[in-house]
Formats: sequence, C-alpha cells, structure tokens
Amino acid sequence: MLLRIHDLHAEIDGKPILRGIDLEVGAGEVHAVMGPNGSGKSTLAQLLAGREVYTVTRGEVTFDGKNLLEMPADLRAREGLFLSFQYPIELPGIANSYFLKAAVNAVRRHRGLSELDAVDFLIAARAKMKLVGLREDFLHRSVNEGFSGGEKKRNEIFQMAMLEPRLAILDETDSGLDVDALRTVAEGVNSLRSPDRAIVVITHYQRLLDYIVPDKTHVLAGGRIVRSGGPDLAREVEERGYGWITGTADSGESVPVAAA
Amino acid sequence: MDHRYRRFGRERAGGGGVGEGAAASMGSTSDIRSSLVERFERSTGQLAGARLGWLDALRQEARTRFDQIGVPGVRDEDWKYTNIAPALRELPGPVLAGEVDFASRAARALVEGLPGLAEPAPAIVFVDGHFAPGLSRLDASVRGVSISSLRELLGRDPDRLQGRLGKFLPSAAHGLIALNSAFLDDGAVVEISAGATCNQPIHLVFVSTRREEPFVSQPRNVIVAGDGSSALVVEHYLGEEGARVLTNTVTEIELGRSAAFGHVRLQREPAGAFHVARVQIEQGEGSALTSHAFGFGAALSRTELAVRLGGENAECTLHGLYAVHGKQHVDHHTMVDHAAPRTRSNQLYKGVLDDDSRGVFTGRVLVRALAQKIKAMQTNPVLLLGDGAIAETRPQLEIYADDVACNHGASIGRINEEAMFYLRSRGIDPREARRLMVYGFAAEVVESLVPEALRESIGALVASHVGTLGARGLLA
Ligand SMILES: Nc1ncnc2c1ncn2[C@@H]1O[C@H](COP(=O)(O)OP(=O)(O)OP(=O)(O)O)[C@@H](O)[C@H]1O
Ligand SMILES: [Mg+2]
Repeated sequence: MLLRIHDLHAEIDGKPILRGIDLEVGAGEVHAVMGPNGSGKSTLAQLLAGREVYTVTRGEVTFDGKNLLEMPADLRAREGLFLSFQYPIELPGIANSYFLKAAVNAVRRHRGLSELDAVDFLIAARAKMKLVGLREDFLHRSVNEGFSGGEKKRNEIFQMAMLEPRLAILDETDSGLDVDALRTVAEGVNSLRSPDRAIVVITHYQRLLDYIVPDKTHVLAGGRIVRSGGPDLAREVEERGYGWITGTADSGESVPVAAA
Repeated sequence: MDHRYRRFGRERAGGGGVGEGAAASMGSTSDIRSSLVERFERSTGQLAGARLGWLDALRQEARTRFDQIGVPGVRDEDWKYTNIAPALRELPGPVLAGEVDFASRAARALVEGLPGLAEPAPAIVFVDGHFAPGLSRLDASVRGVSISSLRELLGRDPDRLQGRLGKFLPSAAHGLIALNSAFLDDGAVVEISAGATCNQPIHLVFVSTRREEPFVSQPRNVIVAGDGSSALVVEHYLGEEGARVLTNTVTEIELGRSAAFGHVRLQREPAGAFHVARVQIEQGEGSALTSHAFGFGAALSRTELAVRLGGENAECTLHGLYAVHGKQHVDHHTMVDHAAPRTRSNQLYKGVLDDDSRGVFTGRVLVRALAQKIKAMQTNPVLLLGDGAIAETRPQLEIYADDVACNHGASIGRINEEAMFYLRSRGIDPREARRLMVYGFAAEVVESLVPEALRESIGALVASHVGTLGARGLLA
C-alpha cells in the first residue's frame, strides 16, 4: 500500500475535524473523494501534506511504509507526495521559474539524481507548460501573483508534472475551470498515471471523473468516510446529493451537486 | 521641536523602549563639541582650497553654526528614535591624506567586488575620505560628463564650485551637516552637461579601512545634472571588516529642467561603523528623479534624503530597502518639499528587521500653498523576522494646498506561514523557503532599477544579503 491511513483523528484549536479516517490507496490507483462543504476534505489533504496547524489526536498514516506524520512538510514532498492546493497562494517577488527550479532540484537531490541546470530546466518546463496550456511567460511572473483562478490551477498541475510525485492529492483542482481547461488538466493528470503512482482527486463534480476515471470513490462527511464504492458512487452523489448517505434528507449545507 | 509638523501615524511592534540610554548621553553634548573640534584642528591647515576666501567663509559660518547647535540629540523631534550621541562621545578625528594606504589590498579587493562596476563604467574611489586615483577609473569618462575629486577641482578650477557648495542646503539643518561643511575637504564632483546622456552608471565609491585608531570620514559630493541630461550615479559606502569609522557625508544634487536622473545609494558599511548621510536634491521644472537607497550595514545609520520639487511637473520616485540584523539600528528619513504646482512624489520604503534590530522610517511630505495639483504617495511595509526587532514608521504630512492627492500607508508583518507551507509542500527546506520569502518581499524595491545589468548585480547583492538574514532563527 502506498498510502495507509488508519483511524485518523485531528483537531484545530481543540475543535475536532477528522474523526476517524480509514483509507488505503495502492500504487497505480486513482481514488476520488467527495463530500459536503466543511466535511474535512481539505483538512485531510493539508494534513497529509504536512500542514502544522492541525493536531493529530489519534491514528497513524504511513507512506510507502514510512511514518508520514513524523516527517516535516518539505521531506514529505521530497519523498514524493504532492498537494494541488484548493486555493494556491500568491508569492509576490518570487519568480515562478526560480521557485520551481529550487523545488525540482530539492526533489532530485533527494532522489539521488543530478540537479537540472538552467537550460535543462527550461527545456523540461517548456514541455510541461505546453501540456497544461500555460504560456511560457508565466515562468517569469511571480508565483500565482495576478493569475486567474484557472491559471492558478494549471500552474498547480504544471508543478505536479515537473515534480513527478508518487502520490498526488488534487484538492478541487477542477473548481473554477472552463470546459477546455478541465480537459487539459485531466490530460495532465492522466499523463502522470502509472503503475507506481497514485492519485487522490477531491472534487464536488462528476465532470472531472468523466476524464479521470477513479478506481474507488469515497464520501467524506463529518470527518469520516461514510461510504466507499466504485465510479458509480460519484454519479449517484451527483444525482441524489448526500442526504441518502449521511442520513438526513438534505445535507443541510449548500452542496453544489449538479454541475452548472 | 518643530510643532508645525503634524504626526499622522506611528506604529510600533515588538517590545523594549525606544531611544533608551538617551538620558545618559544628553549632558555631554558640549563635551562632544569641544573634543570634536580639537581633533579636527590637526587637519585644518591641510584642508582643500584653504586660501579661497569664499570657501573659508563657508567653513567659518558652518563652524559657528555647529558651535551653536552641536550634534542632534533624541530631544530633537527629528532624532527621537535615533540616538547618535554614543557614536559621537568618543568622536575621532579625520585621517590625513599622507596617512592613507592607497595601495591597501583590502581596499582594492572591496572595489573590485562592487556590484555593477563592470568596465567601462566610470568610477571615482575614496579611501578613508581621500581620493584614490589609482583605484579610480576616470579615463572611462563619457562625453558631456566630468568627474573630479572635490579637492583637486578646488585646486585647479575653484570657480566651478563657488556658489554651488551648500547652495541648497538649508541653514537650519542639523549639526552634523554643519560639521561636514566646516571641515569639508574631499569628495566627488560630477557635472553632466545640458543635453548629455550617459548610459553607464557613474560610481562614487567610499571605502574605509581598518586602522589603529577610529576615524571620521566626511565626503562632500556635488552633482549637477544639466537641462535635459540623463544620467545615473551610484554611491557605494563600504569598508574592511573591523574598520571603526564614522562616516558623515553630504551629497548635493541639482537637476536642471527636464533632467532625468537616477541615484542609487548602497550603504554597506562594516559592523563597527556609524553612518550619517544627507542627500540634498533640488529639482528643476519637468525633471525626474529615481532614487534607490539601500541600508544594510553599520552599527547605526541615519540616511536623510531631502528633495525639493522646485519646478512645475517635477517628479521623484524614492525607493528604499533597509535590511539589518543583530543590534543594528537603521534610520531612513525622507523629506519631500512640493514647492511647485503639478509635482509628484512616490515613495516606497521597505524594511526587513531581524534579531533585535531597529528600523526607523520617517517620511515627511510638505505641500506648499501655491503647489496645486499635487500627487504624493508613500508606503512603508516592514517585515519583522526577529522576536526582538522593532519598527518605527512615521509619515508626516504637512499640506497647505487643497488640490492634493495624498496617500500613505505602513504595515508591519511577519513571514506568512501559509506561504511558507506552500513552498515547503514543494520540497523546499525551511531555510531556503524563508530566504525566498524575504527576497520576495524585498524584490519590489529592486525591480524598478534600470539598466538591467545594474538591476541584476544589485539584485544578486540584495538576495545574498537578505539571505543571511533569512537564515537566522529558523522555525523548524
Ligand atoms: N485553520 C482552520 N481554523 C479553523 N477551522 C478550520 C481550519 N481549517 C478547517 N477548519 C474547519 O474544519 C472544517 C473542515 O474544513 P475543510 O476545509 O477541510 O472542508 P472541505 O471539506 O474541504 O470543504 P469544501 O468543500 O468547502 O472545500 C470546517 O468546518 C472548517 O471551518
Ligand atoms: Mg476544501
């Protein structure tokens, strides 16, 4: 198992958010995670990536057999974990190219590979930018600064493509994308699919899952995975909402179920 | 104290008192005065242009002024947060020309390592306050530009300086300016003829060496940019590690009509140095000034930039970056005088304060009654890295006209943890992530530098300087 989460409980400021998550993701698999707003999806994703604001109160997480929770965020990334942020942050004054080259080389050093020089980096970057439909001038702009919502998401996938992670967690990478961008992003993700990699896609919509067909789908509600199934589960959620799973007629929250 | 100046805001962060230790030093101002003058006597016989009547009168007047007002103390509103007295208590005298080792390897190495000093840019170099022809590159002169040592020019062609020296310095200015005038001896004189365009930056370099005794260095620079001219001058202040120097420098700049002038100041004095500077700029009609002031070095520094927008449509862009650590104290003080209609000023001063350092920014903007249709902007964002660091920011707006667009803002913040997490989530270790964050904060000040070659070399210098700050006090 590449990722094994067992009975994970986490809180912030004494407020429990994750209340016993169990999830196993094997190499080569794609999992979709859905769930109402505020159910804890981003919390789980950020916690896995090493965000320190959450306190784990119970449970274990192993990544390729290693205790993930003991590793600082940057080590997790070098070990091959990647998070595509729901809200990528802007970094004024830091050039995208400089930032990404530093990241790529940090990861390469860790893997025992030689560092990319400026030319090799540029060649690799050009190819991947084309893949995700970003113009080259985005390399010279500050990271995410003034990028449109969709451009930020493409930039996340561009980074993912450059870093070649073993486990990619995509937190609502599809939100705010137009139809073409959605397809481009999906192609970017699919190009990464391989027998030794795994992908966890957090989404509210079936749309993305038409392109990236998941092996398994999970519904997270109230900090727990309340139901798991195959690709059909996503379609069912899209049609019926979450009420039938969570046990209320309506989830009580504004769940953008039907895609606009 | 000057009560005319209204104080619009002041923000403090961190703990600790400001200006502590001030009381102890207050009684000693007159001692400072007498010991100071005593130590200077040795040099008076050797001062440049000693036989020139007008220069003698200028020095005498300044000396009288200094005797009246002495050195500034923290009781002066303008010096409230910067206590210079301890630096002056043991005020050393100047080094005589004959005592300077112009062949000093350390000085040569420092000059050769200067950012942006690629051939064939002209450079005039001073060691411990004295012109060093062997280290200078004046043969690289550009057409329409003349660069000389003040001392030499006073010997060769003093008429060119009569009426220019001190022309725009306000007589009420503080005692250290008077001290500079009273013993003025050497410095750089740069004259750019009307219509001349100089594409190469002109470098003025002031190097201090490690000497047995502490000493004072008082460069006096004069820059005249003729009508319609275009040029860029870079002032470098630096020194050998361990040099115990008090630099007290004055630069007078006059911009003719429609002149476009760039001024860069790189204050990178060694850790034991004290640095006091006044840059006095007079702008003619339609002239444009772009100033970049970097304050990185010295135990204590105070840099004053006074700009008088004296002609219609004159504009100035004042960018500054101060970045210090340890117990360093840095004070940038700008004064913009909108003395004519349709003048514009735009100030961006950024501060990075690590450890227990202190950074003071005072931005005074005066809009005179007749100066209508004015635009004056000012911002002072500060990044606090050290737990003991303190930032003072004081916008002072004094506005007598009514058609004025005026804006000021200041912010004091710490490293954004969310941004740190983003960087780390890409595999970048905390040390590098922090370095990137600090550089990213500072970069805005560098981005407006032209030409590109200078922007790149100063950018690299800024990156390596703030990198040493970013590496301290790591979180994880
Ligand atoms: N830093 C934080 N401080 C306080 N509360 C937080 C914090 N992070 C998350 N929470 C709370 O935890 C709960 C789960 O939030 P989370 O962002 O994980 O939801 P989500 O499932 O990703 O929702 P969405 O679908 O809207 O993105 C919410 O109630 C949220 O307010
Ligand atoms: Mg979320």
